[in-house]
Amino acid sequence: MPNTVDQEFSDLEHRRDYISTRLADDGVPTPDNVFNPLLADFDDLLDEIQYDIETLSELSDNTDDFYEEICNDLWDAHSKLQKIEKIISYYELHTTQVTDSTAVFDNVRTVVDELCHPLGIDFDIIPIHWNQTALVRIVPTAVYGLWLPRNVSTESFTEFAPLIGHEIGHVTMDYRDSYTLPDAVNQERRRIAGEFDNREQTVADALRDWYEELYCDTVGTLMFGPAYAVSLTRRLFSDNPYKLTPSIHREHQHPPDALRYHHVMNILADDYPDELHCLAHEHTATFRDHLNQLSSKRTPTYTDWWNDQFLNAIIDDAKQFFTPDTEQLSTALTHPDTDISETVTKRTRINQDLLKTD
Amino acid sequence: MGDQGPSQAISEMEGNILLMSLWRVQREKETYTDLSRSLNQTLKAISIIRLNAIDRYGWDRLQQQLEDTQDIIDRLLEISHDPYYTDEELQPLYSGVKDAWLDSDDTIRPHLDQINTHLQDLQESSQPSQALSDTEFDILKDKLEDIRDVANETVEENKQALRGNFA
Repeated sequence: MPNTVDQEFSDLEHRRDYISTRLADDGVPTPDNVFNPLLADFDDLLDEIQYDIETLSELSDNTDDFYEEICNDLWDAHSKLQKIEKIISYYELHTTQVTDSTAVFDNVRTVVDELCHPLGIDFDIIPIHWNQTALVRIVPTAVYGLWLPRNVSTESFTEFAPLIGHEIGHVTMDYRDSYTLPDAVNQERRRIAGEFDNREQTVADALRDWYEELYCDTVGTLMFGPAYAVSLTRRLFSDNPYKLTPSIHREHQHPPDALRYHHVMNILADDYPDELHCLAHEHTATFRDHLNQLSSKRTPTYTDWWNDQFLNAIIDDAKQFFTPDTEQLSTALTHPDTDISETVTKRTRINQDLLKTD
Repeated sequence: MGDQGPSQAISEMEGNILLMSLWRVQREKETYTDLSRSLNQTLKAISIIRLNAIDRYGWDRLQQQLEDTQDIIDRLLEISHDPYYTDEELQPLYSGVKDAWLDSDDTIRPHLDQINTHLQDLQESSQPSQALSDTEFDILKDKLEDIRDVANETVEENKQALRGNFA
């Protein structure tokens, strides 16, 4: 009778064979640059496990530890295979959905292409209708999936589009040298958290998480201008927009909605002409009402958790990664009669539609 | 929003909390899978040494695995000296290990130092299977298993978060 590890190994081999069959089917495009490296990595691990299982069969005593370690590798192999299976499903889903959503998916690609230019990045995007907006990492720096809410259509695409700027902000993190927090941001984080006696670590952890989301909001705002503020405020909703930390610990914490709004409006005030900042202010009045009506939720320590130096360090950090083309976009929006630079065409149209300025 | 039922409202709040965080969950899952795998390879290397099966795998390869884990332990030691350490990949692992060992920053360092000393002893020995006593081997493995399991649990937590997204 075979060991459990033998059975598990055999199961992994069968799943691997099925993937080969599926990839050979030409009904769904499954690019080699996506699947070959993933499969090579998995195959190496499978070979290693096979060798270990053979070793195990040749040893007689005290092999409990070694057996447990083989189980651990089998579990990792299972996890790697799950990832490949999931990516295949994304491609299948995309292929199925593209029939009904050709125009929306084309629009996503046009926007992503336009954003890649100033950001100096280049990657393939696979749009997929799902239940929310999110970025799916398929091959870092090369291929990403983009989840779109189910109801995004050609009619509602304009309102959704600026959020792509935030998601692309996450992509840029893969292009940076490492995931470490920039020194200037960390220095402010240290200063803020150091003021808290008994919650120092909680605040320090939260600020590390907030950094990334605020960085992505910075990229979105610098890329899309006022339209980003409009889209974000229509999307953000929570019962407490001033909530500093979730009551239940989560792996990743988001900054309070009110802070995100404050940050985005500050960028617009500093990096765009007054008239565009005013337009954004006007078009986000409903959200400010929402914040005002829930102002009782704002605790006295709300403003102790962050300061403008922290936010400015994040903006500086984003600007070190790329040179924003805010001037071209501003010119296109404030002087619509002049020739619009090709590099901002789509974003100009989206702003004009959302701000009703054309 | 006015005619929205409570369950839908809760679901939307959940949606907003998860909004845009999937990328990070995936990134961390990959990071911790790699860490767990790296630590497990070292645990296997130690088992192979104890089982006198070094020749079957080659000493150079086993030594490399021991050295890779020393690097991870060195980075955990760096974090122990700086609560604002900016290495996002390892900060949660350090916190997890500290919780698992119920240790403070001051008392966790001797454990980490001891792991690295033993890993170094193994690498430098001409007879690795004799380099440590049985008790020392057991302690080394226990400590490394703890760290690997914390990395694994982080993957598991992330899987739960992913499940929320994929439900």
